[in-house]
Amino acid sequence: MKIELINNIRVITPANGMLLCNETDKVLSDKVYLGVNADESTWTEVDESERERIENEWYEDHTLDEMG
Amino acid sequence: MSIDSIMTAIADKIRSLLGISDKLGLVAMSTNLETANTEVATQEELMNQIIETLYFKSAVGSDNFIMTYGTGLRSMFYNAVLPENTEIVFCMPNFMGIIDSFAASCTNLKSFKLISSNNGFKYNIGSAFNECRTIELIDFSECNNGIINPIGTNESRYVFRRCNNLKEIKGEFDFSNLTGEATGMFQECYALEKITFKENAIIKNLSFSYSESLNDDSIQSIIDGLQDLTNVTSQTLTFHKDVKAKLTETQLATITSKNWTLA
Repeated sequence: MKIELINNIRVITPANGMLLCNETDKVLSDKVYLGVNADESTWTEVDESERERIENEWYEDHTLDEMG
Repeated sequence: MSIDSIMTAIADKIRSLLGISDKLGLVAMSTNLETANTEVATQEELMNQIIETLYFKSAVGSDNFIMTYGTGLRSMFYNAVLPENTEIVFCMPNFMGIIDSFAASCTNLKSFKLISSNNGFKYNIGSAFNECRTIELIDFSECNNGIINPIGTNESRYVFRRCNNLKEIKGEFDFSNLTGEATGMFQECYALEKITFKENAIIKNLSFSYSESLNDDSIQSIIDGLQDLTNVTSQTLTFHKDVKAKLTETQLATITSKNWTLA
């Protein structure tokens, strides 16, 4: 992935066929514009085959009893 | 006549008028009505008063109007199977914000509106519409001065999850009391077009990654809703890639200068 400064904004772009992933915030993205003080190291690259697995882990079905 | 028997009679009345299944959660309604109108002399008078004000204009496809003196709607239509295209208006003078699990996993609810002159409360709205897949319109604009201000840590994280047909939420969201995770709140809201936020009232990660149809006013409202986090930990706002692609340079700069990461 590459990080470049565009119009004074740090922009992270993944390599072809890859996605950006932030495990802490549970976010997958095709392109990220970082906040002025945001930590770029929280973003990693994953491939499409991992997307479904990750999303299933994050958004597993929750019963109402679990959710409260 | 006990409160329980009153509630049973009301539940039977609602079921017969709506023609719905017996999956109708009214347990909490009993609790709510215990705190309602205390000027009524007897429980029998209370029952008569409530029954008289249960007014259904017509059947499927038109407004169903319910007036109740209860303070909340907890689990009222949880897992209920309603007539197709049910549209309901609740008028609740004593409403105090209790609406958690109201229509979770409810089938055939098309629109819901809440009217109350009561204001100054905070919404307990956890999972209120979670997996209410048919709903298209939710209207809180005539309740609590139009402010939708959920409380809680993680209780609100699934409020509109899998509302696949939800197009519009009327009212103004204020997330300044929402200290927990909200990234799943609009999960799979594929049809969402219109939503409004109070300025500077979003303080934690928020995602609209499934909502490709957000209109321009809604997008700007979300951006204006982001609180300035330059002196605290950055948070992440997630848009659908098509929405993100049409943001202007000014909008991008606004988001990131407030120390929000846009994903």
